[in-house]
Amino acid sequence: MKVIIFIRNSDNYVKVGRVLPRTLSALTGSGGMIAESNIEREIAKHLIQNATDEVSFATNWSSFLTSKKGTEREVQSRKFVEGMAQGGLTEDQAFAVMADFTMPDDCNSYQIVEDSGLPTDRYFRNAWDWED
Amino acid sequence: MWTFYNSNGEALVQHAESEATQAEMEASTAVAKFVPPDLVKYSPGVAKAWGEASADGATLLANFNVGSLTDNGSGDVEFNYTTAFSSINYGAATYVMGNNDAVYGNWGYQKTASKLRCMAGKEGSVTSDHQQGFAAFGDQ
Repeated sequence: MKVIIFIRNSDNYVKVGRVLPRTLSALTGSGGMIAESNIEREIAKHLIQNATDEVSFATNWSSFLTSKKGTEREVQSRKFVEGMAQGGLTEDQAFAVMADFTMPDDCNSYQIVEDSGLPTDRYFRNAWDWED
Repeated sequence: MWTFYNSNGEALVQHAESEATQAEMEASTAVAKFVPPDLVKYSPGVAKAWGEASADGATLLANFNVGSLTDNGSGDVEFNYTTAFSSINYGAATYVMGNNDAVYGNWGYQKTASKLRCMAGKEGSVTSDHQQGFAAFGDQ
């Protein structure tokens, strides 16, 4: 099973992202996890990051979405939501979509690896870091 | 038109055959509408997302509306929703299992409309790996 290694570039510390089989199946299959009619509103919801966004969304979510169009987060959210609604991605594309969409705020890059390569002993989990 | 009968075959009430909307479900209004299975989730009293992660943050043991999991470190796990909330103000009840090292519960959590981060700990610091879970309620 593949996992996403999120890397904090300041110190190479790693966080490990795991995509649920059901999610991967929707992205690489025929979607169906989000209704086609809800795609745009769903994208807008994923862009709510603070109280100001929340008010804008509640006032007029369509205008709120338009105001965020083309931002990095909007592009990432659109790929995720459309993928969950429509599917049709390769496995590599699906992992890339999930990596971009779920990237922790303090991480800057990622690698896709097999989980068999991860340490099994978690005693020093907070010392895990990435080396190329 | 639906007609409901009692056990004696007497007509009790008639309801129009129309489906409730998401907004009607969230407002708990329009009692004459019917609720198909895929709309039940919009009721205010229903958890919009829930899940339980294994202690190593590697596996979701059970869940609803969680698309992926992030192991942030020891005792620190993040649940990423598939369907987001429509607000950052929603209720999330979290829990930690196991108390061998006197874990008192979730030291803290952070949430956005799209995800919930749970940290198992005590006295202001994350402790060690623990099975953690949550249930979140609010508007989608």
